[in-house]
Amino acid sequence: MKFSTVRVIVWKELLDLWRDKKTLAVAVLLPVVSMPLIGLAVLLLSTQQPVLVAIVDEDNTSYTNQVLGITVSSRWVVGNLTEALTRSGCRVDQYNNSPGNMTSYDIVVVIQKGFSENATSLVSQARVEIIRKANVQPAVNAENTIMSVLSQFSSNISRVKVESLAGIAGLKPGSFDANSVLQPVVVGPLILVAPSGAPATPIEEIRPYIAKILILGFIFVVSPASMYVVDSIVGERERKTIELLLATPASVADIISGKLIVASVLGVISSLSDVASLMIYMYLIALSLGGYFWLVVDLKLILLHAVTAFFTILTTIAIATPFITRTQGIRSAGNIATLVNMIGVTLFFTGFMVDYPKLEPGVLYPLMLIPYTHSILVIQDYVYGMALNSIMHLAVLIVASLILLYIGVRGISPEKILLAR
Amino acid sequence: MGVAVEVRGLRKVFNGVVAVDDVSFEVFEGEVFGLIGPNGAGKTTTLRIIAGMVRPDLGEVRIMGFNPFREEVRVKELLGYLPEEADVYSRLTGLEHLRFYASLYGGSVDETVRYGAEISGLGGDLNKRAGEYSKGMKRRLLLSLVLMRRPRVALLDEPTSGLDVYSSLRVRDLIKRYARENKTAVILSSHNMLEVEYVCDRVAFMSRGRIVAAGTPVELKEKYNAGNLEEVFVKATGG
Repeated sequence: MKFSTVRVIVWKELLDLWRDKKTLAVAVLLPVVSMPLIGLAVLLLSTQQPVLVAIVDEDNTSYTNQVLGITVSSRWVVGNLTEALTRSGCRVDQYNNSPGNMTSYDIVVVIQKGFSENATSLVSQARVEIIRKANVQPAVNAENTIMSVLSQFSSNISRVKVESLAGIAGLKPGSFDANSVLQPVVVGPLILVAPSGAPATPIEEIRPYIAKILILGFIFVVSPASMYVVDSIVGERERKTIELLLATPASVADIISGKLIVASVLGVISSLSDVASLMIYMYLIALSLGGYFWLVVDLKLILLHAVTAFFTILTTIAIATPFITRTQGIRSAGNIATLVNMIGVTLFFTGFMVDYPKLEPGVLYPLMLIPYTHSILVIQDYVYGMALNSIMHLAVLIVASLILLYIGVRGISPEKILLAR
Repeated sequence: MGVAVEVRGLRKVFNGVVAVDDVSFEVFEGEVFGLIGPNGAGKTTTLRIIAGMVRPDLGEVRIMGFNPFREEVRVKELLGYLPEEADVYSRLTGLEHLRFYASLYGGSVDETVRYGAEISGLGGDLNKRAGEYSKGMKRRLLLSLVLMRRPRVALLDEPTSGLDVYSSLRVRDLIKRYARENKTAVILSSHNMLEVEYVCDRVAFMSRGRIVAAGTPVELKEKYNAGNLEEVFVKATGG
């Protein structure tokens, strides 16, 4: 490989890329748009799923227990539930008797007959029946709201009952605390520590989450770079420009290396754009936490992400190149690039859900044969406070990408490029 | 004149189909040699083998005494190859094309670009993006990319393919003048007999991968008692 020749190829490719505004726009906008869009879309759409709730008050009474001096009305429960559910975006209909067909409702709350009397009683329990559709996720959220309201309601009645019983038992005010009966065991305070064991702030709890978002971000930087390689090799063959180039003293290794370097440059542009989008994302998180932007943002982590993204891109295009160059059409080459991307996407998605450093060695070590696993571990080990491991995985990723690049470039001849089947 | 290109017993088979079979010929310095034949006759494969792009199953090629597969860089420096369906980079200007290709070969880039601009005859259009060029302009630009550094051997695969009459005439004149002025050996493939008769000093007819007749146009017409090269081809291939 001749450096001066590679430099000429890179110059031409950069010039071509600079004038290909659409490709550049996609490389920059894909991460910038995708990341906040995902967050925004999830936030907006999740509020646009009205849950239909029916509250059937079969009891519809108010009852006072004269002994305890306590009154409960089923309408209070109806009122509390309606207010809480409406506030969380549910549509609530109230009935005194079951209207018959309730299939249009996602969740039905039935306050059974005798509710008020039983709730004030010392010998029985009041019952609220909940009928929920099994396959409606927002209904689960509504159920949680209902359970929370009922739990609070139940707790309030318990407190009044316990205090009344204490009075009947002759306990003087100050010698008795209802909490000692209602909640004899208390959990807390919760002390947060970093993976190293040092005290951690609540904001540090967000860091693994940010790391997972960073790993998910790899998905958006790998695709434009590999598609660029497809276009610059197979596309050049289809546009009938590659043969003239192959006839020059530039070797296949020079030509492919030049193209891969420019593809990586495009990847770096994507990566920087990705980082910018993550900064916006983190800024939004920081705002929701009270504006501690610089507490949330870890510049070393951002830098690590950018470097890892570059070598992840290089790995992807190095794996895809030998296949792409042996493929006849741009469509099939695109499919191969997509296939390689899918391996990355699958792993990066699992990296979003799973803490790789916590995986059993029997599972993690085989996964380490895939270079993308190291991309994930670079980020996750850093967040876990294992900086040395993080650097080690980065080194493995760099070496793997360079070896794959060497293998990918060396095995290609002009004949294979020209006469690919 | 010395031998510039020596081709001996070339054979190439693609997936059981014989593309080139026992092809042998010599081309001398300053000579324009025509490879004539219908589509699929094996002309392009022969040129690709000579250019070192496709490795033959059998046979040998020498360019100014060098083997294109063993002395690849040396041969590429001596050789200029214009593929049949070559196209331009639509987002680069004509001048940027000249500079790019001149830089790949090294040497005096400015002088090479100046000569390339001259032989292209594109003048001020060289500053336009090549995507805006007509087919004839693109072909002239491509031809100047191959010839601008004065290669000792030029392989031109269907150089006037798809061009109108005026563009074809310009390209033919350019090839003929260039070969004489620079003592360059030119191998030109074509299925246009008129073009071949006008431009070539010697021709070889190819059919189904084999050379079926070779000689100067005058010799071939005499040998086959034909009025033009089309008749020669028909008689030589037994059509």
